[in-house]
Amino acid sequence: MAACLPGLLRNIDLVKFRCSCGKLSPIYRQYFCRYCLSLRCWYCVSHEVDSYFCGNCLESMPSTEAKMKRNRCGNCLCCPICLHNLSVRASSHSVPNPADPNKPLSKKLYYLSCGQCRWTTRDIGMPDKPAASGLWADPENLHMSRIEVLIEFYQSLASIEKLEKQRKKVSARRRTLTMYDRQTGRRRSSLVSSFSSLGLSTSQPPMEAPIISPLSELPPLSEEFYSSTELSDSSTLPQRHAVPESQPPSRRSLNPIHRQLVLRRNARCRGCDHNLCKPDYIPGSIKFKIELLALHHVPEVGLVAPRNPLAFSVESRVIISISNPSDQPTSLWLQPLSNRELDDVTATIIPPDGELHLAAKDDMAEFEEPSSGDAGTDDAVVYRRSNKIHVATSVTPHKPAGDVVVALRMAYDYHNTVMALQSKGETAAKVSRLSQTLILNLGSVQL
Amino acid sequence: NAEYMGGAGGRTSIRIGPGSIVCADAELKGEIVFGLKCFVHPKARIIAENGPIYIGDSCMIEEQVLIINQLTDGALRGADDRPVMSIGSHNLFEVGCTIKAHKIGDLNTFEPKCVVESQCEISTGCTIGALCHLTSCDRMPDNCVVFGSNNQRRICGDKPQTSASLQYDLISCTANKYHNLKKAKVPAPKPNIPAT
Repeated sequence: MAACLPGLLRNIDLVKFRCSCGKLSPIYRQYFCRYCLSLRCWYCVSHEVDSYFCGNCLESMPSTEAKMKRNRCGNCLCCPICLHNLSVRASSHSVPNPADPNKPLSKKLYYLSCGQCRWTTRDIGMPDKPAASGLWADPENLHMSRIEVLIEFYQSLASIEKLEKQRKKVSARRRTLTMYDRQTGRRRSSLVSSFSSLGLSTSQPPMEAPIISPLSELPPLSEEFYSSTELSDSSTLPQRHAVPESQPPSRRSLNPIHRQLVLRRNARCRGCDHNLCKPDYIPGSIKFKIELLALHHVPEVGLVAPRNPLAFSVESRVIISISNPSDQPTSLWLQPLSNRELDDVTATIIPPDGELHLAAKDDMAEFEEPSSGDAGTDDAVVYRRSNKIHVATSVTPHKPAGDVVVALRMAYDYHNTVMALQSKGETAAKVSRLSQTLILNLGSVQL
Repeated sequence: NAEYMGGAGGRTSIRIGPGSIVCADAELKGEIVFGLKCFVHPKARIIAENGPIYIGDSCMIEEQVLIINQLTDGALRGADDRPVMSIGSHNLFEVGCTIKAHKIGDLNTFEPKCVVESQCEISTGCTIGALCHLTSCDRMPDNCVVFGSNNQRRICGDKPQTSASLQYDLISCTANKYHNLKKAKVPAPKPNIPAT
């Protein structure tokens, strides 16, 4: 009979760890800082922009280049109807051959087509292009000149304000310098020369604000709005807002949209400022340069049994599984947490007493024959296989309705390899006793 | 027309037109008529429960497709006054779709896992997108494309075309090697394989 591992209930929200900031989240969503030896969740990590990339062509670019391109990819185009990727299709047309009028040449012309909604560039009347890429020109933005004038005006305003700020700083400094002078009783005329050496120019006259004068009378609404509205021809609001520069009311004016870039981020510990998560340079790669995930450093706790709801005030046997992520064997202690410490707890748990031993994680274990799944030396361990153990606990819900929530404290030995690397000569990793607070949600009470 | 009377129930009667290939693993129940050059993949289920199903030429019915006649009343009536489900030609039924529509025209594509309920009537050149549900339409306009999670529709400007006939050419040569086929009495005509 093949020994099959009893499956974990893989609901991601079943077991939550309390992060160093106090929030609860599953272990799969947390990082572990090896320097501060604490869990960091999504909220107690500072996120920085690493780079930008296009989701379609996977072209990576730094922040400055992305800003220049307005966070859009230059090559990839999206369908204006459904924002799906546009793919290039070829169609051959016969073109009269200048050399021999009897034999027409077949020329390949390209058009863009959406795979999801079957929109093509022919729907808006765009002629097919002779080249597959590079000729898909964007329509001109009618408001571009006005926007440029406005930007120039506000940039000049900003530079004037900056100069004013600098001048205020310098004058404040100047005042303190004269005060020092009064104390010594001497006046230094060289102050004025030092002031002028800062090179502040006199303020430039501000540019005139580019105001558009309001119209005195508006043209009347054309009759078209009252009589003919083809709903199938008009664009929807999301489609219009995707093209804010033109916002065309008609579908026939919807041009292909450049694909928006996607952000890649670094996670940095707020406590010690070390990088916790840094992706690989290539956007298409799933590897990380730095990957300090909690799953690789903190024992993973899961629920094995029972699958049925627990009954109120009945002591039930609950089996939880703990797996050791490190390549060193560890010892583990489980203690219950009193209700006074946490508000949400609705059941009491009696975990096994004493030290639980966990073997090291062996990457070759999945390829080898499974060793006997016996309990090993510890009494409370129900099942053991390589780095995983199943432990029996007893849970008594003491609320008749709602979810059964238990809290545990797990203390374990963590082998820190970072400090060993830093100090030369020491090969043994420093072992520290860490403890984490767990909240397990065992489902609703059986009604 | 090759005729194949089978099934323990006795009411199963399947008529497979010349050139049509039906894999033996497909589940066919009731009165079903196929046209020319159809291909029914294994694990497809065509169940003519409440009435007969007439399928046209060059239809490609892929795996796990469920075509079921559960009509309670239909415009078309068969021989013994049972509602008929009629499917036109050159339709492509991709993997996992569920078709209960009472009338389907030509050149339609039903993408994977779409669901078309019995009140629907699909005309020509429509594309029902993947995982789209058509539950309560009377008649789909021609060349309509249904897509997106909200079952958005739009009329497509392109000519209707399906790859059903192209797929038939490619698969009819190799099907014999890999699938058990229901035997037909009349041999299939030679398919044209496009020169590449």
